[in-house]
Amino acid sequence: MKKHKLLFNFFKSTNAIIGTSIIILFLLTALLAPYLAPQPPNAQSLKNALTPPGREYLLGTDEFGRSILSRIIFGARVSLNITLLASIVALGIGVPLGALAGYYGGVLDFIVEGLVDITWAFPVILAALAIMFILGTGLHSIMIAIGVVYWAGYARITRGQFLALREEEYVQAARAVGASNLRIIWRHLLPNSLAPLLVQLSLGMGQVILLEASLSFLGLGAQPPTPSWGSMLSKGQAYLLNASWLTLFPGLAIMLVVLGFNLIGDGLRDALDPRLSHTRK
Amino acid sequence: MYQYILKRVLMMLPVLLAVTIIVFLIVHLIPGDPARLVVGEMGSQQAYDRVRAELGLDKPLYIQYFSFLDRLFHLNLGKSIVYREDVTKLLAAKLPNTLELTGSALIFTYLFAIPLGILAAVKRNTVIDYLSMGLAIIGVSVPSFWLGFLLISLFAIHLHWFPIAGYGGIKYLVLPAVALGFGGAALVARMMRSSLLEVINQDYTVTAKAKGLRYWTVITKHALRNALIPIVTLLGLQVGWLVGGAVVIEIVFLRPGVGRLIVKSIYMRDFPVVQGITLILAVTVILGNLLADILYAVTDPKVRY
Repeated sequence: MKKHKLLFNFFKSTNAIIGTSIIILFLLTALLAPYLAPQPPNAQSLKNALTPPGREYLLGTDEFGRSILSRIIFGARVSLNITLLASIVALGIGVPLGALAGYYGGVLDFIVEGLVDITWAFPVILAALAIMFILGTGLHSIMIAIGVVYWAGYARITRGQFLALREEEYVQAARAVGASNLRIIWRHLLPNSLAPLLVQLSLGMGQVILLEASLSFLGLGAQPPTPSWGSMLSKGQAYLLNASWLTLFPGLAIMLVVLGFNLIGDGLRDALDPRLSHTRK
Repeated sequence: MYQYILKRVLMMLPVLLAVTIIVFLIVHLIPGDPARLVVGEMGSQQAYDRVRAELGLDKPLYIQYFSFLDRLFHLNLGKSIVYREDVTKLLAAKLPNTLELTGSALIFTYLFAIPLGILAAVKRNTVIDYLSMGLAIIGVSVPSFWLGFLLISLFAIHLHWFPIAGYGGIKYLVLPAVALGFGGAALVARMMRSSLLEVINQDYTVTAKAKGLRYWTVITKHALRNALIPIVTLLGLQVGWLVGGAVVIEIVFLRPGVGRLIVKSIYMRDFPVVQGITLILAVTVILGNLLADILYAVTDPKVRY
C-alpha cells in the first residue's frame, strides 16, 4: 500500500486522530518539561503539603508540598523514554525469531517455541525483577528488562501468522514459480503479518508503560526523587482516604498515554487492512 | 490430536527443566554472597562456613544444581532467612489465597468479555457497539492497581458495598478480582469482536446465511467456533498476566498471598522464598499454557505439528 494512501486511511479515523494527538501531546510534554512545569518537580513546600487542586497548584500537592502537575510532566520523560527503547528491544528480538520459527518449522520452531514458553512461564513482573537483579537497578536496566520480557509476544504472533500463511495459495504459487525463501518471507509473509504485529506493537507500548508503572509502584523502578507515575501512585496509596488527588492524576496520565497508543494501533490496523476496515462500516 | 497433546506435554518437560535451572541460578546471579545473606553481616566466620557448606556453595555448580533438583523432588524448597520457616510451609499457607484471586479474576474476564465482544460484533455500529468498545479500549489502558484504587474509593469508601481491603469471604474477593481481571477482559472483548466480524464475512458463513439458517444459529454454530480460536490463544497469556498482576493487586488490597510475600522477600533479600515463589508461579503458568494449547488444538483442527 502506498504511503500517502496509508496516511489518508489512517487519518480518516477519529480514534486514530485522538490517539495521535494524545501521543504528540505527551511527546511534547516530555520534551518541553522544564518549560511547561509550573514548579520544579522536586521543590518541597511543607506548609503547602497535601493542598487540594486549586489555583496555585492546579492538580494539588503531595505530602511534601511538591506540585503533582510538575511531577506528572517530568514523569512523562521517564515513561516515554522507557516505552520507546523497550519496544525496540522487544521487536528486534521477537519478529526475526518468530518469522524463522513459523516459516521453517522443525527444529528451529521447536527451539523458538521453547524459548517463548520459558519466557512466558515467568509472569512478566517476576521476569523483569529477575533481570533487574542481574543487571542492577536504574532506568537502563528497566528498559532492557522490559524489552526482553516482551519479545515473546511478538515472536508468537509472527510465528502464528507465518504458520497460517505459509500454506496459502499465493505463497505456494510464489514457491512454484521459484521465489526464494527470503523473497517469500519479505515480500509475501511479512507484509501480510504486519496488521496483527502493529496492533500488538501499539498494545505492547501500552503494556510497557503499565509494567514500568507497576515496577515503580512496587518501589523497584525509578528511585526517588525521580518523578515517575508509578511511584507517585505508590506514595499516594497512604492518602487514599483524605487526599485522593495523589493517586487520581498520575493514574489518569498513565491511562491517557496507554489509551493513545491503543487508539493509534486501532487506526493503523484499519488503515493497513482495508478488508477489516470494510467490516467495520 | 492425541499426538499433538502428547507432544505438547513432552515439550513442557524441557521448559520445566529450564525453569528449574533459571530459578536455581537466581541465587548465583543476584549481587552478594548467599551465605553472607543468611548469617548476616555480623555473623561469625564459623557460622558463615557452616552455612556455606549447608547450602552446598563450596561444591561445583552442577553438583549444586542436582542437589537442588533432589530437594525439589522431596518438596524441600529450603528455609526462609527472615521467617526461619520452611518455604514449602509458607507457600502452602499463602498460595491458595493467590490462586483464589487469579481464578476469580479469570472467571470474571471470560464471563464479562465474551458476551460483550459478541454483542459488540452483532450490533456493530450501534450505540451498544460504541459503548462496549469504548469501555474495552479504556479497560485495556487502565493500570490494574489504579483501577483498584478507584474501585476502593467508589465501592468501599463512598458506597460501603465492599470492604476497603483485607481477606475473608467472597465480599473481600469481588473488588480485587474485578481490578485484576478488567484489563484482560477488555483485551478479550476487543479480540472477540474483531475475530467474529472477520468470520461473519467469510464464504462459509455467507453460505450458511444464504441457506436460510437463522441469524443466531449462524453466529453460534458456524461463526463462533472459528472466532473463538484467537480467544483461546489468549488464555495462556491471561494466566501469566493474572498471576503477575496478582503481585500488585495483593498489595493494593492487602491480601495475604504469595505476591505480597515475594515483594517483601525481594526487599529483605530472602532468596529461598523468592526462588520458591518464582518456581511455583512459573509452574502454574506453564500448566495454564499447556491447557490453552490443548484447547487451541480442540477448537482448531487445522493445527498440525
